[in-house]
Amino acid sequence: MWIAVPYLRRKPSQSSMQINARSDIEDVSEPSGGQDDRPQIDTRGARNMVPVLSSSDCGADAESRRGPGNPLLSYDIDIPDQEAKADKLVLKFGDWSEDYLVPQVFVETKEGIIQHVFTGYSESVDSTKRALNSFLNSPLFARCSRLPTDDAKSALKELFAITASCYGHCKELSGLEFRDDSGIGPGMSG
Amino acid sequence: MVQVCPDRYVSRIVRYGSQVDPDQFKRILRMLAPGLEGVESGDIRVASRYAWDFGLNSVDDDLTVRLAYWTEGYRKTKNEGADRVALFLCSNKDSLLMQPVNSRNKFCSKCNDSAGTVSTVRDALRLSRSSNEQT
Repeated sequence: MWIAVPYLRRKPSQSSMQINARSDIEDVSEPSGGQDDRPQIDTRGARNMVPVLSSSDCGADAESRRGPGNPLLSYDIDIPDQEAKADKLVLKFGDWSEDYLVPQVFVETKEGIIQHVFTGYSESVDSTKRALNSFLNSPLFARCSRLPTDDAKSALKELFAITASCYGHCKELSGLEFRDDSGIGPGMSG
Repeated sequence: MVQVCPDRYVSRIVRYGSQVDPDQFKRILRMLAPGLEGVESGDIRVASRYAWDFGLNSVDDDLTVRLAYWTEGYRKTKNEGADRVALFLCSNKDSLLMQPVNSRNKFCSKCNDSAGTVSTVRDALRLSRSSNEQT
């Protein structure tokens, strides 16, 4: 399961939130409605989403629990009920703070263990891009990807194709740009 | 770590380690410079970094480092005017000072040989440790 939280900011503190059981997390997952065995991507609200990706190797028992082909689920933190679900995941498993960093990504194992694997960089979009590139080329990602690797990368790249105003510098739009030949990080190919 | 631009404007302060305590970081920040006393927990965000964050081909997915961030004006955006007061790092030493964001001054009051007291990062860390020991 991968979870990311986007670049638009969010409401104030959720620090009083309580999570008492794993069931709180399980019900954050929503079927993405795949008809075959290939992972499906829910791109609703693509700008502000928390994607969730599972796999046959280390991912969740998505088929039994959520129907066939749900390797990638996402939650839009600008939609209150999805934001609440994202908050629960980040609070219990992620880098939680009152105004937590985004995006954050998690993986769910066969055993149902949810592990945090990525948090965006406060420093810059470029830093986030570089780290995400590295992550997409990591052994963990390859191990967890049920999709053909290139397809899985494309899926996550699509999820991260988001823009926001440049923070603290100018008001122009800035966003993640993925370029295989960027020379920043290991690149997206291979 | 203190992120500064050539004008010595501090855009970000980052504390890092195998573990970081956001509350301790908050206390440190509050002692760093006049004007930071109002730093709240919500101004601090944390992040975990792993081997893959750094492009390391390690199969070990253990946590590598944890970071705590404070970002200048991140939540306190009520005043984005050119005359707002912001945090700067003295060019001479690790002293922090508050001054108008459009100021060209790059030195703390001590280095400018004028009155005023500015805490240093080391002072704040020392005070924070002392405070922890007392509690």
